[in-house]
Amino acid sequence: MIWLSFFLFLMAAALLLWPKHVAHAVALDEPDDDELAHRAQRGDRTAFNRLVGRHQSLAYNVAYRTLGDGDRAADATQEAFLAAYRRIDSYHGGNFRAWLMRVVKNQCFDLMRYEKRRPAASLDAMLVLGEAPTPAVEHARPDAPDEAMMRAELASWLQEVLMQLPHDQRMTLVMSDVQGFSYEEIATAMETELGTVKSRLFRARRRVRELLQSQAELLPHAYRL
Amino acid sequence: MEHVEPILLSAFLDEEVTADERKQVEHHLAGCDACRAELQSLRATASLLRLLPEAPLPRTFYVTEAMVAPAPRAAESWWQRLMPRLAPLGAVAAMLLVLVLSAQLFMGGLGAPTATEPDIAASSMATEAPAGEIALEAEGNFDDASDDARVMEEPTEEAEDGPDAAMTLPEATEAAEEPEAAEEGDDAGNAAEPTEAVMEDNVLVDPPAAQPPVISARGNAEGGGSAQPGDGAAGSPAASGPSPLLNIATGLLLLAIFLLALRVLLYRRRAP
Repeated sequence: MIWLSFFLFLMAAALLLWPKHVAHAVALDEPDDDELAHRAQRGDRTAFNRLVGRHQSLAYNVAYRTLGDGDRAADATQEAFLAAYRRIDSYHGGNFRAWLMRVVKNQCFDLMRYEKRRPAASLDAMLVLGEAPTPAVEHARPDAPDEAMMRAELASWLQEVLMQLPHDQRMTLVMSDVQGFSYEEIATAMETELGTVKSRLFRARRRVRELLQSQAELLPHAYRL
Repeated sequence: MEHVEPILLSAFLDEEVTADERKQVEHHLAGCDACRAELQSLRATASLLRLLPEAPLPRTFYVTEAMVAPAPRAAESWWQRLMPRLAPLGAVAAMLLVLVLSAQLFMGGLGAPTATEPDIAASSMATEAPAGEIALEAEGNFDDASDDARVMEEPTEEAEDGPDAAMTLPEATEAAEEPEAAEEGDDAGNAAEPTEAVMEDNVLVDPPAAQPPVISARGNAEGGGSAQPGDGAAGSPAASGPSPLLNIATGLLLLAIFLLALRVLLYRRRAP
């Protein structure tokens, strides 16, 4: 009984002092990004696809918010992962998702250079087309407001606002305020300095605010700036 | 009152400021309504963007085997097409160069392997010559062993400028002229004749027996080293030409270049 107690005490001490190592030893072997990337560098495509599984949603969403189009975003995301696999040797450890975002950024910017369709010139043009979400929502059944529908319409409108930003400001804003990247990760992904990230982010937020304030009456009260 | 820079406010919102900047902003915000309003406006904008939902994946983006097939090569310039073919040639050339030079260095380190009887006789005569002079082969011996290395028994002062095992023909030719200059300073009476000897078709015409021997550049260059290892140690170290250490270093450098070329060649073949 004493030995059992002693053994349990040791286990508890180990868990308290080295929780990560103990969990890693006890749990199934779940390698981190760097380990998978290292395996991929040795030609293990399965390891690379495990990285794809972990980060494809993030990559697609960044591409989608940057390009504003689902089909283009899917193409850019696939090209990005293919390019990342081919250039996996250029990853030297550290922050894999920031490195991946750099590849995504390059693919998105390459696509945008060749895109023929221009983003909407102004918010008014979109409203004329009957795309204005909020007024329709506000005039929906007032006794049963659909929060989800309102959010969906708001999201659509916000996306249109994002498309009016220069693409470097747009992607910086998406990575920061939509996906929660740190400034350092954004600087790595955008291949620029921290000061530039701060400046772009501030200018992007200011522009979005100006656009939203100019159409404030279209925003639900809860979301007005 | 001076307000906080809006960029700093934006960074403060994301907690991407230094400790000093944070204190400065917090202190200012405590007494400035305008900056507090600006900060609140920025916060609301950022919060609104966070409402953007996560777009569902239209499909998966796994990399398949078919995708990683080599991409078609873009049009290459003529030198880009030529380089892959030149790389193996360069590696082979570097390897041959290393082997040839290594052989020369090795032979030079061991000394001239062949010494015929006339050579030995000439060497014996040379040993009777004043100390510090190099033994030479007789003219007849020289003709018989035109391509053979000659024996150098006693390195002399002239040998400082004399040929070396590793010396190439042009260098040996130049070196042959230097002993002439050295001899002029050492043995003035003998200076003229060695000069004449060297000048005849670059072959040493052996002067009369009494003549102090001089080193022929041609023989030494072809022989690949007429100095015996012991000679180099016994005599002046500079008399045997470049030091063995330099030879080894040169050989290692060439070997390193060869290995590098080989590595580049193998890497290019292995890369997808």
